[in-house]
Amino acid sequence: MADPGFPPDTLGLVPMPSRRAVLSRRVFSHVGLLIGAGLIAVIVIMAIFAPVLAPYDPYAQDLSNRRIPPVWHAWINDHHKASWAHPFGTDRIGRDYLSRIIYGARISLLIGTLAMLISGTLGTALGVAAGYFGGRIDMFVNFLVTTRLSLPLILVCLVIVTLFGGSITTIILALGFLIWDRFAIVMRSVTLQIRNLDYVTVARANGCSSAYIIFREILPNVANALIVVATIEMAVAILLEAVLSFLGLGVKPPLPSWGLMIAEAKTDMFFDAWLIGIPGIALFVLILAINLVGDGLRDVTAPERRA
Amino acid sequence: MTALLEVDGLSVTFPATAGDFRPVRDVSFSVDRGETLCIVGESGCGKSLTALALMGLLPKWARRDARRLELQGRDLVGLTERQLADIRGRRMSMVFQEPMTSLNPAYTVGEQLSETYRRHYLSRRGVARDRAIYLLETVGITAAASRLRQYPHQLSGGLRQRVMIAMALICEPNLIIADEPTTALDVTIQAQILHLLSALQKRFGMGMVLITHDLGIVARVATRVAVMYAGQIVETGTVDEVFANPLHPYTQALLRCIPVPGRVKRGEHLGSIPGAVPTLMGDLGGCHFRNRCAYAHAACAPDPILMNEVTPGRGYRCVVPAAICAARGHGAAA
Repeated sequence: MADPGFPPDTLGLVPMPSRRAVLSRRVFSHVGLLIGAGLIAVIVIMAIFAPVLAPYDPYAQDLSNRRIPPVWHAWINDHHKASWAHPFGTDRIGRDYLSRIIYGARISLLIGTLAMLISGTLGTALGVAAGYFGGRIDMFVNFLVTTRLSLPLILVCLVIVTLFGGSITTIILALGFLIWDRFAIVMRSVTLQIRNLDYVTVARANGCSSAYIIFREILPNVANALIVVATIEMAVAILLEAVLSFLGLGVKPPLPSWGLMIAEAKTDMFFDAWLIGIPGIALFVLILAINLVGDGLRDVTAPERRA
Repeated sequence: MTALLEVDGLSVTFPATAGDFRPVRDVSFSVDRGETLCIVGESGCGKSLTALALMGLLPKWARRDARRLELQGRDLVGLTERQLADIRGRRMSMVFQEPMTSLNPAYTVGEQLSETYRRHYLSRRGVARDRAIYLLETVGITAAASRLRQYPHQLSGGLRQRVMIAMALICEPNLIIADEPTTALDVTIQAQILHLLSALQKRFGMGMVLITHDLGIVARVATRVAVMYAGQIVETGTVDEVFANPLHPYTQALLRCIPVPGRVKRGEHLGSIPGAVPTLMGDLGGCHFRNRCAYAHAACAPDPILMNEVTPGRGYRCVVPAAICAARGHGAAA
């Protein structure tokens, strides 16, 4: 052919590193992603092995050991009760705070993950359909999104909890079916952009069906936008659960939800601030870690920077 | 035996409240096996939409009408989207203008090539992979096996267009439609790609519809030419006939615009056609070229001008008799 005949092995091509090698190099050079993933790994392990890791039963009350401050009070102001027996102290009915934090990770992660999956599936399906097919479907989805946006989250949750009671299942379903709007909006606009690109036309010219184009051509290219929204929404779901539990609309006591722990501690805020501080910090760290991972994954998976 | 592709009275309409936009009007042509038809014309005259209409890839709100649209004797008009999808890529395929954006950035070259093959032949991965390597070698890509693992952004424009051609050919289609396949490439690569396309077309005995605005390309690869102007074909014929003896004033004017080394003096203005293409809304009436034609007179305005057949396959769309047109053409050339 018209190419000058280089022998194949001297083509000047740098030997291609494998896909896995490329990916792992990019992952391990991204500090934010590593920190986030490390924190999440710790929290996930905590949640999974809670029965092994927790020093006490998170529900066991010990009324003779109420409001023991965390262990660092022993070092800072020489508090006589603070000790390694209760590293994070105990709450006002003597339950071990560390055990409750460890079990609380289960609730936060469970609600965050499931609500994100439900809303993600729903929102992505709606958004991609609207962006890809346009016309009436698009109008219908936009109508659903505006309808959803006009519903105040807390009020709707209040109604749902009043009607069905505040169990973890109720909270997951309520959040899952309420926070899909951002998925739908983002997926719609990204899909709109991609469906007009040449390679989608090429795929049609090669005989691909709409379903094939949506799953194989469009979804992989919207994946990194999806990851970012998914992490944001997971964080939002976890925070909302905390908010709802704080307001008494979420999970019911004595479940060790971090939001509920903050709510229960609010009367003690001025005397035993750590009762609010510790679950607050736990929430903060989890949300931060999720967002770090989301940003990192977006950077690492961006197709245009894959090299 | 019928031709490979028969197009009769193809029109494309975009309905609009201000009046229908009609970029393709009553276009008819046919392509045989082993033949290259070049559709040539300036920007906005409906070439690309003709190609998309053939493939059934027009936007949803566009309307396509045709008296006849047949590929290998099979009617393409009444087909469902699914039946059409079975034909696309396998019986006819398309090479697009813009190789930089025509490949999906999320997949390797090998994945994209073999997916097209597996879409139509349901073969095993290994088979499709071998086929992809064979085609990459066919389109002149060395070290094909290692290219399969590369992503589109790792390839140059010329290589990507070769990959696109390989993808179009992977199911051995009977008809290949190339929509300005070399416009986005630089000149040396253009020549290679053109050379490659016409070599492959001969080797596989395909019919090819090549859309271009470049008369140099037409002269090099075409068997037959269709000159398009404002949505209509204004002249057809073999490449020798059209270049040696242009009949339609538009073709004559186009040919006059090409600088000929040695004959055009240094510093001299290149030829040009005064005026602009009319907006293709509603009914234009009469000859579409009359506002720019040097020979226009009263007879050009009222009625639609029909295609005058000089010999089968040789026609022009003008009211003036062929002999006079031919004399004008020669006068212009001399």
